[in-house]
Amino acid sequence: MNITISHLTKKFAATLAVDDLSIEVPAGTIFGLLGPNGAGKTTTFKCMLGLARANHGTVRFDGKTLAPPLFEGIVYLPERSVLYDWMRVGELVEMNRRAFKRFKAERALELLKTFGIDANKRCGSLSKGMKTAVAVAAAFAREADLLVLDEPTSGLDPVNQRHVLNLMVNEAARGATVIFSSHQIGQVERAAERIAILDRGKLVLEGAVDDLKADRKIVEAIFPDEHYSLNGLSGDKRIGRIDRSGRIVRVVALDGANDLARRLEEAGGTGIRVVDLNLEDIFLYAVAPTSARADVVEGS
Amino acid sequence: MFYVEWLRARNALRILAIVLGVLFLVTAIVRLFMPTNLEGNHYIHYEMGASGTHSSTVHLRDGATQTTILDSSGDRVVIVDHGWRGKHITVSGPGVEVDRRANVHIGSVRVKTFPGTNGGEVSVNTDEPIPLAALLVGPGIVGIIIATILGGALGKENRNHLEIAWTKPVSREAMALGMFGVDVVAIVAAMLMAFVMEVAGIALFELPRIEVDATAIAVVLLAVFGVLAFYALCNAATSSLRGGGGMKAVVWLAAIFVPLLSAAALVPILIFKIVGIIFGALALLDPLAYLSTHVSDSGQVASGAVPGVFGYSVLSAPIPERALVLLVLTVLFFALSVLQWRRLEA
Repeated sequence: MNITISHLTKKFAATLAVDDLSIEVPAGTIFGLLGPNGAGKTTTFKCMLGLARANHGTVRFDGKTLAPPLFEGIVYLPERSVLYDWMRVGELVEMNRRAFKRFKAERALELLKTFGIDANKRCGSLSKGMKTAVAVAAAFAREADLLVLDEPTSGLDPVNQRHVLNLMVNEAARGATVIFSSHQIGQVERAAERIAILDRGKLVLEGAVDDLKADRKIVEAIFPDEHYSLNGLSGDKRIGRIDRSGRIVRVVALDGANDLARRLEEAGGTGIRVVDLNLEDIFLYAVAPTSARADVVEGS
Repeated sequence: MFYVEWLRARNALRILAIVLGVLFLVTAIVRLFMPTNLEGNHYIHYEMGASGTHSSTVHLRDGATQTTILDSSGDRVVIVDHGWRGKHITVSGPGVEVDRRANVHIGSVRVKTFPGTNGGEVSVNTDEPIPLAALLVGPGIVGIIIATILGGALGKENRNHLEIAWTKPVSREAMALGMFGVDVVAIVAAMLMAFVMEVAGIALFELPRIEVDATAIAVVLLAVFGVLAFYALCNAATSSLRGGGGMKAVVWLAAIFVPLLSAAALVPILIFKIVGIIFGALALLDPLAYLSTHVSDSGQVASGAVPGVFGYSVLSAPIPERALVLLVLTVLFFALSVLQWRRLEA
């Protein structure tokens, strides 16, 4: 299922939770939505699925606007548990079986077994992680066309986190589109083909993970003293950011890292290094440059 | 699609079945072990056991036993005992004081008094037909309790479950109406269970005879629509809240006190009249106000199902009209509930 989000805007009183967001999620991809707390990830999901009313913008699913019958093929796994505490896990499976034609109860029970959850237990008696696992089991037994997963590994142990990532990959291999958010960037890097980074409701970065990593580098140079000139580099559009720390300068190169390294050398820089960025670096440079600088200093 | 509500309703009915079962069991135990000296005949023997009293018993052709007791002052008690089918007791004589206020009809027991020149006569029949309206009081109360428990169905979904309820392949309106439908069936089933258990409880003591007259259908509809309107009111009051348990308590208090406060209009002081008119208008929206029980001079329970407003009726309209108004209120409150719910955000 192809998702097209166009100019989505959502305000809560004076707060702009989602600000003119436009994203295209191709069918069959795993799409990671990243952002710090309060960036608008959950609100984006809710606006997409009609759980919150957008002030502006549209969301289309294979070109169609959202209508109740589409939910036969759409799964939403919220960040917090929305299970009925009084309900037994088995009854939750039955609820899904009755509500969704494509739901496979046997598959759900099998997944519950994998997570080590007794179907006779009441949802209220489960730990946070187990509740997440129950919701995950129900979600991945739907054979959906689109899975919208908000922090799907929240509260899970590392083994089960890996299991959920594998399930996501399997769903995408089956042809489903998976959109998920996570604070664990390592997971996003492992599973997502494409990402979008939100900050204060705005889209600050979007693209294929491999492309973003290939394009973005840090170029480091050391100058003889603190009075140096960058030889007009600061106006170069290929530079995302320049951080100076005494004699050290770090340039975040969006493209053409080797050429930028050469120009730094021409400007008198020595000890030139071109460092690869991982997704976490990319994320931090996008939303929290101060933290990113500290991180790179330690890492370099 | 409405499995969650079905589970809630099933749980409520299961608890009700247990409660009714226990009540029936207690009644059965009381019936089995009820000491015979608490039964009418023996009580009367005991009362008239003074010197000079004598009694005789004959068996009538219809199988009944007739016991006649005479005392020295000329007072006479005649007891015709039809066993399970009831008793006729007549007390007459110069020592019998007649008070017309004693003319009552409660359930299957009717007491009638006849003043005479020398004393009077009191007759007690325990095989009178029970007015259907009186039999609906119990089921009505049970229905309102279950309506309160199940009421606020949408408010319960608002408490962290909208992400489940609103991501099913059905519109919000259909979802809400489906949930109401499940609850309506459960409430009617609860009333039916209570009715059956009530009749069975009576049957432990005597043959239950139900007075079904031309108004029976209207009376049943009044009771059912009254309870359903109350259920719908609970939903309308809570459908935009998270949970809404506290609001249901407010609904209960308002439903009881609004009609009572409307009686202030009867006080001939301006401020009371104004208060009375305001609450009288509000009472038009109160389902319980339509269910007041009216007891006629003859002691007959003439209409209504739930004596929830202590005899004060906001409407003096005939029962069919009241039932119709309650149906309209039910639909109105359901519509209000859905309108509020569909506008919420998860």
